[in-house]
Amino acid sequence: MRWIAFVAFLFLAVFFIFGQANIAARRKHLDSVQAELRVFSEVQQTKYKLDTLSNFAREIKGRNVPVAGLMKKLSMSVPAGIIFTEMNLDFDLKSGYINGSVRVNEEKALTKLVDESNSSGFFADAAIDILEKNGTAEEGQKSNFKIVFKFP
Amino acid sequence: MNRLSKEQKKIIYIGLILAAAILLFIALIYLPQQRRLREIRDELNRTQQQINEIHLLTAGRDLNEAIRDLNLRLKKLSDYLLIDDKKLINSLTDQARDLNIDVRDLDPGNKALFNSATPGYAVYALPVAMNIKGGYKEVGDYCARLEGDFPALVRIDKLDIRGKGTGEADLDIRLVITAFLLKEQ
Repeated sequence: MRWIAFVAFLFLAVFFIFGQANIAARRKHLDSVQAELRVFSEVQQTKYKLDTLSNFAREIKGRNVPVAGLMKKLSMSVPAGIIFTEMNLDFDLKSGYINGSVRVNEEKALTKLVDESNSSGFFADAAIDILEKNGTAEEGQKSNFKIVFKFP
Repeated sequence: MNRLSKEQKKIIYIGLILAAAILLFIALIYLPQQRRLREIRDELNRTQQQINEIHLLTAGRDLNEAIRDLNLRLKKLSDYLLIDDKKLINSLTDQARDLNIDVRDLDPGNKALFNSATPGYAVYALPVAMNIKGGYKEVGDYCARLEGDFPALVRIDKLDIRGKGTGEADLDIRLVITAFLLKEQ
């Protein structure tokens, strides 16, 4: 009976020692890997800063309407006979308007401009808000217009 | 009913003591050991994963070379974002002059803390209103510069262009922008 108790005790003791040795070995491995990581941490910190700044710049730029592209597209879409006197773009309010004049009987060009603006991708809901005749026959009659639009 | 002999009782007692010792061993030694082992293994995996990610960052290059490259990229981006007010104003006027745009006046507003999740940095938004005179193409080029190679992060908020409609080159333009200036915390 004593022998059985002794073997059982021995078995538990060996099991305990083996467990502790296993923990110690893994702890040692972890320490060495962590030491390696500390050497590499400069790379990690620099990359973290770089990612933070890049993400911020990308986030701000992503929200912006491409103004230069919009102006270029608009200048290319304006048919002859249409003259702008004011162009207002409010990117905070996501809306704008264009005031100008067009020769009488050439209002079709204005409709074409509105259609092209709507299909350009830069504008949404572009529409002629005001169109009224102005000037005498001698001066050459013109129609003043106001086009309103939104930014998508 | 048969009574247990003295020997049988002894065996039962020792058996019970052994069973209790094994249970105590499992509860007090084996399970805590396994828990510690699991914790170490998880920590080891996490650390190893971080090291692997760093190796990916270096893309198989020498570590020193990778650090140099990252620092260079960081400096370029920092110079772009960590610009001060004075340098920003100078850049706005210099770039306009470069495009033959006449800056009539330039009015920087109040700098305000901008709500942004940029850990380690404080982000300030500085509104700047400008009245300028120039041609349509030049203004378009100026906006392209502000959106592209300009040495600061800016957003165009408002643009108002007025002219007499005679195709003249000196349009009256009001431009409102917001510059985003970062400061390391």
